[in-house]
Amino acid sequence: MSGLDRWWLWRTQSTVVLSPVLVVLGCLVSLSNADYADPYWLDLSSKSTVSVLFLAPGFAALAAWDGARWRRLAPAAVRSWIALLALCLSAVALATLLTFAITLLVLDVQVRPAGGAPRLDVLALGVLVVSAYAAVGFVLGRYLPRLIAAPLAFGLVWGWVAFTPAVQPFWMRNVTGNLGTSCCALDVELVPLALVAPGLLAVALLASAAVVLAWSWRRAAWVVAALLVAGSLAAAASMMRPVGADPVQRRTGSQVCVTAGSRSFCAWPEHDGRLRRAAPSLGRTAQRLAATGLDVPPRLRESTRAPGGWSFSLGGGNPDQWGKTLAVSPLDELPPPCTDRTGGVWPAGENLELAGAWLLTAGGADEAFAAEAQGASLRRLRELRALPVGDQVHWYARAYAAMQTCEPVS
Amino acid sequence: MNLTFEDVRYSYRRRDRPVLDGLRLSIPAGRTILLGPNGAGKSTLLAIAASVLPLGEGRGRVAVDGVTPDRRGSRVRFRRRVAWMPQTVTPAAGVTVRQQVALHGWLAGMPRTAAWTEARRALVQVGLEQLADARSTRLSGGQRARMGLAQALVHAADVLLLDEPTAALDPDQKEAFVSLLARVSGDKVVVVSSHDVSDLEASYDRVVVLEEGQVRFEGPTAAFLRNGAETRRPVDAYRAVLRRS
Amino acid sequence: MTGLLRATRMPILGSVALATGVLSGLLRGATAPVPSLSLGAVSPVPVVAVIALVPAIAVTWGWSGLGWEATAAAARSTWLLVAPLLVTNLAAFALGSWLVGGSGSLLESGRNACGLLGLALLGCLALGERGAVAVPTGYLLAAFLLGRGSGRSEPWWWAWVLSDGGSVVAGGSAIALLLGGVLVLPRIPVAVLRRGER
Repeated sequence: MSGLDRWWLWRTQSTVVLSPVLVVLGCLVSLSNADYADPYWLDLSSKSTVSVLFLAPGFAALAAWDGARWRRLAPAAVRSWIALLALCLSAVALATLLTFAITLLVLDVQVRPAGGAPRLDVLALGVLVVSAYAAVGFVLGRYLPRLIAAPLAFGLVWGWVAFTPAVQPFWMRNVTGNLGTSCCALDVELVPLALVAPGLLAVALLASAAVVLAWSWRRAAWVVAALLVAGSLAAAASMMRPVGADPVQRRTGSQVCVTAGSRSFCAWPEHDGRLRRAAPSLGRTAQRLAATGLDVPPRLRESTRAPGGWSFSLGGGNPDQWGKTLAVSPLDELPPPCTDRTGGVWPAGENLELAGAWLLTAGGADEAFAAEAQGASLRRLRELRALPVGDQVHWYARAYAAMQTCEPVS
Repeated sequence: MNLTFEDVRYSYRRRDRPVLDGLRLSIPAGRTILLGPNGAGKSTLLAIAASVLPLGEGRGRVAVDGVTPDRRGSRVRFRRRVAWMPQTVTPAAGVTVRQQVALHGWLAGMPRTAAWTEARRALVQVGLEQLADARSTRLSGGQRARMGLAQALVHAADVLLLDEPTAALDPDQKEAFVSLLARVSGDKVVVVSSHDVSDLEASYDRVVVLEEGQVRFEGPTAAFLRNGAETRRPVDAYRAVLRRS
Repeated sequence: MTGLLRATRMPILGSVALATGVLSGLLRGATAPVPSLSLGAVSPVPVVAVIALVPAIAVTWGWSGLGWEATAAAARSTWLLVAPLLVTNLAAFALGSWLVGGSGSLLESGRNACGLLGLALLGCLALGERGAVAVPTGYLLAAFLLGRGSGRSEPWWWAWVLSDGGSVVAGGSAIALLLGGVLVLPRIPVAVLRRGER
């Protein structure tokens, strides 16, 4: 037996024949988000699994089609339904892995992360989740006509994976296994149970599919399968209930630091190169802000608030822009949480744009540029800048303090 | 080698009368034709013999040399020894003729490579080798029947159960089928359900006549034809058997 | 007539269409965030678009219950044979949607069901039974991924399934597709049989 003949069994499977279409589609979907990727392996690994959104319903529909075909072909087969499911899932898992690998490779070339390695646990979860939903589709195909089973599998899985991020409670979105849309900027990492909860549900779905296929004629098998899914869903929900919208927490670990002027600037190891390029600009900006009279601490960290709200970001753009992120960083966490209680009313917010523009000019930016970048009135900015420096700082301090509340501006 | 049915009772849901009612039958190696009027239970009997229709508790027993399909372990051994060609051969969408035949071999427990090789041999046996790479959905009715036959032949089973295999064949193909049956039978149990009783003596060693779920006749072809009195025509013999019951 | 109703599974399919219509009405306005290839970002797509697949595919499935051979060989008009199934499914889906979602929901759900049914019928003509599933599903995927262009507030004309219920162009496109599907109805059984499907 030679060449293609060796693979004849796989070539009879819809999941294999149509997998190139899904692989290409999956890669395009994942790479369409590449502009927002950080050179951070956790981010790249999760971004490369965004395609779960289409791979899961697509392969579920194809598996349903194959399941229905096996039912017609194999009424008196020696091969068990578990063996047929395994054949189907091996193709699904390989195609999913291939999609992730291609995406990761392209992202690696585009983003060039420094050091480290892809997060195999994140990728493995993606493969497990797609396989589990394909198993659900296969079971539907085993029992329903193919014309019903395939679209039903597609619709159910798509609804579960894609629609849940748009609805509450939040735990629902965090058990579907669709990590890519909610993870992970450079300054965060996954909560410890973020992979366990969807993994548990996926394993339960696989086990339920196996139980139903192996003992389909026993009513108890259906009860066991239902209990498995319900139990794992309850367990996964209890794991994710304390977590917010995204299953992430602040990143811990040491940063690399460089000194520029009289201050040191620290960033995550993945941004070591950018930090070295940004350091002169950051140093100059910090020095100018301090010279204006602002209290800039001696040690500043990337995306980690220092006293007074100072930090900087190296997320994108060029070294010049990185310096500007330091200047406007005190305003990053506005509006304050109290706007939730006041229905979005935040009277002091009227000074937000002007304060931002003033901070930029204090950091050394040109007035016209600063006003345009922050959407502030150039005339008002010039009036403010015409005041003595002490008065300018006093205005900013009062505006900044007022912006932390939802009280009317005095 | 023997295919045996012991006290087999079978009813379909929502039907008042059982299709098979306490049927006892032992079919030895050789070519056996299963005759009977429409609704006599021929297809049901073959489906039970293929373990496609499972016999529940207390509904009798089917066995090949004592091996029954009752439990998982013995069912696998039973199915490895039995091949079944259903009345309707369904082509699977998206696969070639050779792939479909090979799939049946693989499903019957053959290793992947052997199934692929044997599929070629089976297609040559039924004269379909020219269409091996054609889509199975593109076959005509007669070609489908031959593909179904190849599906049954691919894993060299000890028991061949063929449900109306000649219904869609042209006269040449029918003749080819009879000679193929003679070639492959040997020490196998071959059971063919059919309404085609022409040339019975040359084609089959034994005859079984079913009616209303009961065996009305079972014996060598020559003995069956004697029921046709002096004409010895199969149709007369068949009518005489049914009249007598 | 009773035989036709049973063969085409009309009572069960009508009930399913009614139930999915109700679901469609309940989920009116609900969107799911889906990555858009043309925008390079996540964009919201209406969930009711996917639900409208149900009546579209149900019609083809119900028809297959009657038998492609039987319809192809029938002396009666194919349109008359299939019309009860088609009208029942669309009407039940629209009614369910209108009962809980009002006229706005009726417009959007009805348009989606009509358009996807048209695509299912045309898909069946081109690709056989599997085309009834593959074509409308493939269309939905294409609309989700490529239906919006950057700098445009409205989707492209062909991605009518993403438009509001009040869009005349979208409604017209869906009706045109349904008309196209209905026009080719008599050719579908033969096309399916020529593909060797039974």
